[in-house]
Amino acid sequence: MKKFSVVFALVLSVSLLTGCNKSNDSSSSDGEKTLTVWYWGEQEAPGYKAYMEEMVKRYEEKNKDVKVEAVLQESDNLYSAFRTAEAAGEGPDIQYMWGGTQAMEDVWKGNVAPLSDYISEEELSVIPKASLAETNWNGKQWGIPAYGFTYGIAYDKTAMEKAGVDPENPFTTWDEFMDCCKKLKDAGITPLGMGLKDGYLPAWIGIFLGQQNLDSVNDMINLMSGEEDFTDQKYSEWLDKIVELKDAGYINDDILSLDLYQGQQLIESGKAAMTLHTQAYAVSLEKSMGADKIGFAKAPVYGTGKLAASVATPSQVYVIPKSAVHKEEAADFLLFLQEEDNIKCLYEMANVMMPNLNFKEEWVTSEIDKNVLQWQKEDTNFCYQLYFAPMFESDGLIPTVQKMFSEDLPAAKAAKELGDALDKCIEQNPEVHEAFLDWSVEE
Amino acid sequence: MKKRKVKNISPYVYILPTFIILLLVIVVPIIYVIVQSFYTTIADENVFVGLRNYKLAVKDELLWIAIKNNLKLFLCVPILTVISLAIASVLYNKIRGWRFYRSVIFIPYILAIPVVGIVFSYLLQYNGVFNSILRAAGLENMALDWLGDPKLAFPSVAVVIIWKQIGFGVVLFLARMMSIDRSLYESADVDGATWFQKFMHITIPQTKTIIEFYVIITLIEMLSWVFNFIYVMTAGGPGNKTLVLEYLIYKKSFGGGDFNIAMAISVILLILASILIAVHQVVMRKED
Amino acid sequence: MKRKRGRGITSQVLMISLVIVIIFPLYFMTVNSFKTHEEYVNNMIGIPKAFTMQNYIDAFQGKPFGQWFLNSLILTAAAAFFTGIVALLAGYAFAKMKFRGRELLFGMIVPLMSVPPVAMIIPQFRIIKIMGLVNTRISVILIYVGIMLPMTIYLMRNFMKTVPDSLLDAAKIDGCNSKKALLFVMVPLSVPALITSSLVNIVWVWNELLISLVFLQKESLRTLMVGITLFKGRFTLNIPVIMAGLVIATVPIVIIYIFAQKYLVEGMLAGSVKE
Repeated sequence: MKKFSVVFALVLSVSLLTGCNKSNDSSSSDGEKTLTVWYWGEQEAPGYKAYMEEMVKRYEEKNKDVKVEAVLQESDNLYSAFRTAEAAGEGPDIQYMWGGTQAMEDVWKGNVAPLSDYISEEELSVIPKASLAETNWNGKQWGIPAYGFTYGIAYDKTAMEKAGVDPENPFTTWDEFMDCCKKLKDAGITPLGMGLKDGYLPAWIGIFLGQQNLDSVNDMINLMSGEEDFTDQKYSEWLDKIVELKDAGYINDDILSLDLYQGQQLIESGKAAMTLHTQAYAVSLEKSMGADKIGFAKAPVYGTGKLAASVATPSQVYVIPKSAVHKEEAADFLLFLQEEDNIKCLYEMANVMMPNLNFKEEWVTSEIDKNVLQWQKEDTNFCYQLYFAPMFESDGLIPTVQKMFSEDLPAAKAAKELGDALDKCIEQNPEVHEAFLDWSVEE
Repeated sequence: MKKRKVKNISPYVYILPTFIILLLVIVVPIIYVIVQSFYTTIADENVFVGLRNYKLAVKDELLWIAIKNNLKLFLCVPILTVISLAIASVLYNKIRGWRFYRSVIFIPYILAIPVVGIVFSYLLQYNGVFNSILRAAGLENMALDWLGDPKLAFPSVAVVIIWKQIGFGVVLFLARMMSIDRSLYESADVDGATWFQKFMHITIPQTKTIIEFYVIITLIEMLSWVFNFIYVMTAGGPGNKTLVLEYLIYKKSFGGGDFNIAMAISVILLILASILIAVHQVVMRKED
Repeated sequence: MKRKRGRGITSQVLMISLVIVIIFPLYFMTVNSFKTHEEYVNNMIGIPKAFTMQNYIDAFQGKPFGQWFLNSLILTAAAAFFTGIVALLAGYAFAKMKFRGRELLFGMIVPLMSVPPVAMIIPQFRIIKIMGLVNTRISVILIYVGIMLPMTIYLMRNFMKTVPDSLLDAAKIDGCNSKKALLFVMVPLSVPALITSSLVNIVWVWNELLISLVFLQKESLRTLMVGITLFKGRFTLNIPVIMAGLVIATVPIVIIYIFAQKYLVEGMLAGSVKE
C-alpha cells in the first residue's frame, strides 16, 4: 500500500511540475516577449474582437520580437478576473476597463500603474483633454481611451410615421416626448422597450434623465459625497419622470423579465418604437436595416440645469496594471492603437470612434454618426455614470429602480433609498471615497 | 514488532494526499480569508481594522436578506426529499415503463445550469411561452411575471432548482431500494401490512443512510452551490429579492467597493455552515 | 387485484404528467432550434412548418464548440478521477483502520464540504501563483479536487462503515494485507458509493463557471460553460439560434448519458451490501 501511495504522490508531483514548466515557457522564451491583453467590447461594439485580432496581427508584423496574446473577457468576469490576478501580482500587461469611477476605483486601490510614466504628454496630445480628464488623477494620467461612444435614443422611423410623428425630428423637449409616446400608444405601438433584469439599465436611465438638473460636475460630486441630499428635487426629479412614463403605460410590460440587451432588441423585432442605445449599436442597425428605418435622437429635455441638454460620450479605457511585466511594451502597443490607420480600422470594423484628433470626419458615411458628430461639437459632454461612488450602482441604483417597477415604489421613497444606499457606500469605503473626491474636484 | 510499526503509519499514508490537497486548496485559503476579514486595503497596503468589516457587514441589510433567502432555499430540501422518495417508491413497484420514466426523470440533473437557466428565462418571461399558453387557455389572470414579480421571483427560481435536482434523488433512492431484500416485503405481506406501513417500516429504515447523504448534499447545494442558478436567471433581482449569500460575496468581492467586507461575510457564511454540520453530527450521534 | 390496477393507473397518470413537465423545456429548446425566427414569433410551441438547419450553421459560426467541449471533458474527467482515488484511500482509513486522531481528523474534514467556492478564489489564486501553475489546467483540477474531496470522503467513509468487518477479516485470513484488502475487497464493494459521488462531482465540475472563468485566461482553455454564457448576452435576438447553441451544448452530454446509463444504474446497485 505504501508503494501505491508513493507512486500516487509521485504522479501528482510530476504532473504539478510539468504544469510548472509549461507556464514558465509561455512567459519568457529566448528574448521573445509575450504581451497579454485582457479586453472587452465585443458585447457593446460588435466587431471589436475582429478589430483586436487585426491590431494584434499588424503589431506583431511590425515588432517581430513581441507576441501579443489578447483574451476577450465576459462582461461578468472583466473585473473579477483582473482583481483576482492583480491581488496575486499576476495580472495582464494591458487591462480594459469601463470608464469613470469604474476604472478609477482600481487606481485608488493601487492596482494600476500610472500611464504617464510610460507615455509622454506630447504623445497623449492627440487625445482630447475632456477624454483624458476622465482618468486623470493626482497629477497623473492613468488610462487611455479604448474607444468612445455616444448615448442616445434609437427609434423605429416606420413606427413614428405610423403614429403621425415626424420621423426625422420626433422630439426635443420632454413634453414633445410624452406627446410622441402618447401618439405611439394610441396607434397600438409600445413606445419604449427596455429590460431591467440584469441591472445595467438604471445607470443608462440616469445618463438620459438624471443629469439634466446639474450645472456642473461639482453638483455630482456634492451629491455623491453626501453633501447634497438625494431627496432634493434637483437630484430626484428624474425618478418622477420614470414614474410618469411607467404610469402612463409607455414602457413594455415585460421590462422586469428582460435583460438590457433583450429590451433593446424589442425595436429590432418591431415590438417597441424606441429604446435607449449607444450610437455604435444604432449604426449597426442602420447598416443592416437601412437609414430610412432607424433614427437616433438626443434625450428629451426637461431639466433646468446647465447640463440639461448635455450629451454623454464617455470612453472605455485601457490601463497598465501595476503588476504588468512589460510596461514599456504595453505603452507602445496602446500608442500603436492611436495611430491614424488603426483608429480608422476601429471605426470601420466596430462602428466606434476613437476620441482622437486624427479621427477624420470624411470617414463617416452613416447618417447617425454624422448627427452624433454634430452633437459632440455643439453640446457639453457629460456622463452621469462616470461619477458614481463605488458600489452606489450595485447596492443602491439597481435594486431601487427595480423596486420602482416591481413594487411600485414611489419616487420620493426611491430617492430616500438612494440616499441611504449612498451613505452606506461612503461608510463602507471611506478611503476610496476621499480619493474619489480628490479626483473629481480637480476638473 | 516491525510489522506493527508499519501498521501504525499506514493509515496516515492513506490520508496524506487528502490532507495535502485540502491544506492547499481549502484550509490555507480559509485562514487567509479569516485574517483578511480583520484588515482593509488602502492603496495596496494592509491595515488592521479590527471588527470594522464585521460591523459594516452586519449593519448592511443585504446580509440579512441573503441569509433569509438561503434559509428559504432550505425548504427545498424536504420538498425534494419527499417528492423523490415518493417517485422512487412508485417506480420501485415496477409499473409499466418504469425504466423509461427513470431515464427521463434523471435528464435534467445532467443538463448544464446555464442551459436550464436560459431556457427557463424564455419560458417564464412575462411575454414568454408559459404565459402565452395560459393566455391561450383563457387564463389571463394567471399569466404573471414569474421572474419579475417580487413575490414570485424567488419561488420561481426554487421551482427551477427542484426541476433540475429531482432526478438525482429519484435515481439514488431507487438504486438503494432495489437492493433491499425482497423477502422483507414478502414477510410483511404475510402479516397483511399496507403499502404505507411497508414504506414506513421497511423502505425508509433501509434507505436511511442514502437519504441522509442526499439531505446533506442538498443542504450544501442550497447554501454554497446555488450561485450559478441565481447568476444565470435573476442576478439577484428584482430589488434583491433573490439575493443569496454566495451571490452577495461575489458582488462584494468583485463588484467594486471594499472586498475585505466580502471576506467578513464569507466568515459569517462559514460559521453558518459549520453550525449546520455540527447540528447534523449531533443528531447523527444521538441516533447511533 | 382490481384495486391494484386502479393504483397502477394513477401511478401512470402521475408519471406521464411528470414526464411532460420534465420534457417540455427540452422539447421547447429542440423544436425551436429548427424554426426561422419569424415562425418562432408566431408559433412558439408547435412543430416547425418549414424545417431549417440555418440556426445551427449560425450558432457554430466562429465558435469552437469542439474545443470547449474537449476542455470541459478533460477537466471533468481528471477532477472526478483524482477525487475518487484520493477519497477512496482516505475513506478506507477513516472507516476501517484504527489510528490516533481518527475521529478528530474526520470531524475536521466534514465541515469543509460546506465552504462556498466563491469565498476562496482570491487566496486560491495566490497559492496557484506560488506553485507556478497560473493558466494551467492542473491548477483548476487541483482546486476542483479540493472542493469535492470532503463530500466524497464523507460518503465513502459512511458507506465503507456498513461493510461488515467479517468480510475484511476473511480476506486477511486468506493472507491479504491492508493494501490487498482495499483493492480486492473494498474497492469492488464501494463501486456504488464511488459511482454516486462521482456523479455528483462530474455534474458539479461540468457546471462550474466562476473558477474556470477566473483561472483559465487563454482562449484555448475556455470551457463549454463559458461558451454557453455567450448565448446569454447580446449575441443575437434570434431566439432559434440561441436554442440551436444550447442544443449543440447539450447533445453530447445526453449521448454520453444514454450510453453510460446502464452502467450507472447497475453500478449504483452492484455489490450493495444486503443487511
